[in-house]
Amino acid sequence: MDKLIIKNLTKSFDGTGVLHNVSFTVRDGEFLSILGPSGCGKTTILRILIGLESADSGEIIKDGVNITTLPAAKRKMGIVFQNYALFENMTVLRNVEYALLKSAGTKGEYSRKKAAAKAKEMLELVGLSEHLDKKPRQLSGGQQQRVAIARTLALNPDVILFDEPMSALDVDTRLSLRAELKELQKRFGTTMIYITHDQEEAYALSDRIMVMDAGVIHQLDTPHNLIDRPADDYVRNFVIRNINIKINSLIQFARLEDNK
Amino acid sequence: MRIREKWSPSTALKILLCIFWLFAIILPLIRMLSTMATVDVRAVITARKFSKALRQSLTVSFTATVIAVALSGLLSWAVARTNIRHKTILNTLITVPMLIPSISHGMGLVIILGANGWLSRFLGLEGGIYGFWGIVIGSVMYSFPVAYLMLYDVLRYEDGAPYEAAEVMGLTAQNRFFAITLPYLRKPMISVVFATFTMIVTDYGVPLMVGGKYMTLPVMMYQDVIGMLDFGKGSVIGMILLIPALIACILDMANRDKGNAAFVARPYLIKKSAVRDNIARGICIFVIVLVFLPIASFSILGFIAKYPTDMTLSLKNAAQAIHMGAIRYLKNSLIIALVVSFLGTALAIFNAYMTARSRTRLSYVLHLMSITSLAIPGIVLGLAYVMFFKSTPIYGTFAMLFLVNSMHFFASPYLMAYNTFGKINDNLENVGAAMGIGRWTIIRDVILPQAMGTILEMMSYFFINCMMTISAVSFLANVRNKPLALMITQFEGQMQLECAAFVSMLILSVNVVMKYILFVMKKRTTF
Amino acid sequence: MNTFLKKTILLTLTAVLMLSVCGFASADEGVTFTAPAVTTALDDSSNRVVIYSGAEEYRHAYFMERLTEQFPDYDISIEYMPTGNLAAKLAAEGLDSEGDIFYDIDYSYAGMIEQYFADLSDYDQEIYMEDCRVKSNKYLCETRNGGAIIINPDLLAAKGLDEPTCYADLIKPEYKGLISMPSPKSSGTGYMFVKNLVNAWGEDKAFDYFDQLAENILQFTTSGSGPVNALVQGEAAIGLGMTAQAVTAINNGSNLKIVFFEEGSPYSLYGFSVLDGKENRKAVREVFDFFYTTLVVEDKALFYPEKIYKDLDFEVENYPTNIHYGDMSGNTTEEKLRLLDNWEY
Repeated sequence: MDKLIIKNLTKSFDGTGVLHNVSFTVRDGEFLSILGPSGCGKTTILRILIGLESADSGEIIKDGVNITTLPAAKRKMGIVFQNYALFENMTVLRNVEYALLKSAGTKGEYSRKKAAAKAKEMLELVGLSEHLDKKPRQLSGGQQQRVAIARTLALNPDVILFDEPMSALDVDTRLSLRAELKELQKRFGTTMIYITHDQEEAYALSDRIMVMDAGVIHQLDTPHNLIDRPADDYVRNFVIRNINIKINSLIQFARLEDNK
Repeated sequence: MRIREKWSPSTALKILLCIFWLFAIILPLIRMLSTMATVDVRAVITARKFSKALRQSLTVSFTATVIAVALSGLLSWAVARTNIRHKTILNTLITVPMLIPSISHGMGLVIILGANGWLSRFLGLEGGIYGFWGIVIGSVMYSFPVAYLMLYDVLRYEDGAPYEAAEVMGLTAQNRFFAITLPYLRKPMISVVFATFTMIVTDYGVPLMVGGKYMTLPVMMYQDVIGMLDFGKGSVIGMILLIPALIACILDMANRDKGNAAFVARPYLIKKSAVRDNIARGICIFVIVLVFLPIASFSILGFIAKYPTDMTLSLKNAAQAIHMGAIRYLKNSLIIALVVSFLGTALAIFNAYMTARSRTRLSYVLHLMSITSLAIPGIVLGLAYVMFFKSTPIYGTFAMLFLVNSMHFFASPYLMAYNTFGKINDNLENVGAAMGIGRWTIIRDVILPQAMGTILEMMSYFFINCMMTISAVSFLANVRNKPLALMITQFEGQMQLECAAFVSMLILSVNVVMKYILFVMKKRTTF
Repeated sequence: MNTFLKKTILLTLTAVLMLSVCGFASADEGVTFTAPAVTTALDDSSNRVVIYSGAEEYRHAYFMERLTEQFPDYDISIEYMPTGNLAAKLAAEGLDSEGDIFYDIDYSYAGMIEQYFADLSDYDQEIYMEDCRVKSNKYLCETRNGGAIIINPDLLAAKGLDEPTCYADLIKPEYKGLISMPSPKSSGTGYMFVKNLVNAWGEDKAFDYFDQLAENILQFTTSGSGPVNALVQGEAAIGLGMTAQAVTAINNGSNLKIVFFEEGSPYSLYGFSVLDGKENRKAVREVFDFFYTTLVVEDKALFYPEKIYKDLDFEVENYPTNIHYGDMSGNTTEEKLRLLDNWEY
């Protein structure tokens, strides 16, 4: 079943085209990565999907409903940013609790007590039970990003968008966080759209990958097909250049599968 | 964030703010500048005495800036990059000169280094320091703490990682300084130099007291406006004094560094070195003693019967000042300072939020208007307000003084808020929007609490400056709302230096108390 | 403390006044001034009177006591401002000024702002010395502020220097850095010395002289009281300053000497007036008239005895008598602006 149908998105800033007639679909429960060099328009897609930016033309259909002009708050989507966007004046626990209490989607649903319990539960899932009373600044980058993920998941969105969430982290942290993220997705079955310029990450995590450049989609396919049947020269070059990465990720992917 | 939507609420608010600025700064200024219509601008600026004053202003300000920045650089190194103890106390002591009007520094200098100053007599100096060096010393006195605070912050927040890398590579301390510190300091240094220069080049308190025959542009402007009632000529000079501040603004905007606090790798690690710490301690003590000499001198002067003929200690000056209404004026000053510290801060926060966290083209206009006040000399602003507001109902009320002070001191607190807001995670509103938490809720619950330290600094900045200011309010104050600082000029003009010193002391005391309150509150709010 | 101090000041002042009034009353028996009769209906809706004044605080204290005594029901306040600021403020505010009465305004400033003053032609100016009368009838004379060369003899002695006896002495190199003079651009006192010498010697010679004098000047002070302050503090040894201020300093215990050179004592005149339109307010009119008939006289008797009235003389302790005044003719606003346009310091 299709979770999201994106039709003919076009967007330009100050007369410069950023997206040209972009159309694609995202399946329910799918992990879809959008891969491309910086400036290719991938972040713009994300911002339009969640409602922080509006497209010049085009449509977004979610679960059969046209949400193109719906405000961000009503789209039931969550977003995780590269720089975590945590509430630094609040404790780790309070970050999640506050979201539950104030968010339009869950407002009134939770008493303070219930919110705290739910927040603890979510933070436990990401392995932060011991850090509930710390301020975000006292945590490592990976831990901070886990808080952000827990905070987003707690609100139980239909779709979670990730804007290069790991590019500020070191290699070891990335590897472990990757595994955890995949795990969480399986557990919650949430549809995830993941932006990255790191192919290795995309191959390791995704059900399908969308390769973009200069505001157009070159190919949207499984990692396997991208390598075996690249749609055009751009994708072929892109993949060959990173053949080593491919091998590495396949090995890791295999490991992830083994661990299950 | 939605640039496409022309009539979003934030655009409407920005337009509202622009209209406010139009009435608070632009139109009064235009009204003032309209007096230039009858002036032969060319004749004014090509006159020999003008070019001489301009040259002298530049020379003296340049010299004072170089010394002030060098001194504050040395001092900020001594405090930020060593392991000396009591850094908070040192920081407080170093910044005390910021708490009194520049004219009081001038007074203190006369007592020490005037022709009959005690140090001049002791050292056998003939003629005192009147003139070039008098202005330089006086200007350095009140301007270096400002430069110091800026540089200290820069050094304190510098990323330590490059130093560690350089050390591994085997670079010597000297090479590290030239390879890392200097390039890193270049951008902030430009801001520091221009801020200091602007402050010095527009001041007339010090040149009035110790300038001797050395004519500078602000004194010339003072003479034209106050002495000759020639507002037009005064405005021409006022316009020229705007130039350095304008350049500072442009440079500042050109190399704005919107660093994200989350990405500073690691703090600079201070190694152990007793020798270095001792040198630093020496520098600090030396500077603090120098700074406190004039302040201590005029503090004592405030309690001397009649300097220098009757040197007995006495409360006569206090009694005289109180008899003349010092308590009532102090009350006025406190009302003004308190209201402005809330009102001005609120306005600055609002403005800075609109320019730093909701960037559109309109933001640039707003940003430019917000920092214009930095460049307008107090006399020009004061007279502009008189002419523009004289027949409105707020003229002659406390509200008039609230407004003029909020505007006169707006730029610095605004820039503080602007920088802080710029450094706070830029995705907070986005993440809020995605969660369905409104912008105002995010501002209230997340952004403002994170900026609390800055907000307290802003409030104290407004407060302290309202206590000290003379130039802009001197035309707008009246019988009912006259602030305390105006008593300084009143006494000074009536040869009661001792009473003027007492009033300066009173202002200093209030400001020290304010600083202490700020210190306590800041300690509580840091997270 | 507050009231005690006030009372002490008042008592002292009243005692001094009694003495001086007795002193001259015998000589000038029966000299009184009367304000013109009021012919139109006056507005008595407000009792508030705001006086802006450039005079010294001790004079204000005296005025306040006398005014409260005379008009217990009126709400009268006196606000001090340096004359220049006062004039600048009035020039900017115009008729919107909250000030009702303006006191102690240097004639050269008064000329620049007289457009905002009421027409005072009904007030008899014949009572004043001829040079004190104002042709435009926009303000009335209230003080003659004489200038003198004031010397700190101790300081000169300490340096082994002779006291100067003529203007030419002042430009001798041995006095370098010892002389203080107010800037003629910001101070009426400074200007009167310039005008005096221009009249005595001609413009070229006078300006040449000031070019040479500038070499010896320690500081051109902003305010006219600057030089005497500097002398009292021992900052300068010779000052071109105000006689009255020097006398006050001497009476307060400073060792200063007042001398006059051959060119005579320069002087400037100070006036008082009422904002145009405000003369129709009863309270303002009564206070203004009280100044005209009584307070100005008392002010002269106590503090500024130099001659402004044709038929009245005053004496103050240690005040020089029989002052020979310099030539101050042609002292108009236009002349001041013209001369100072060429002033370089």
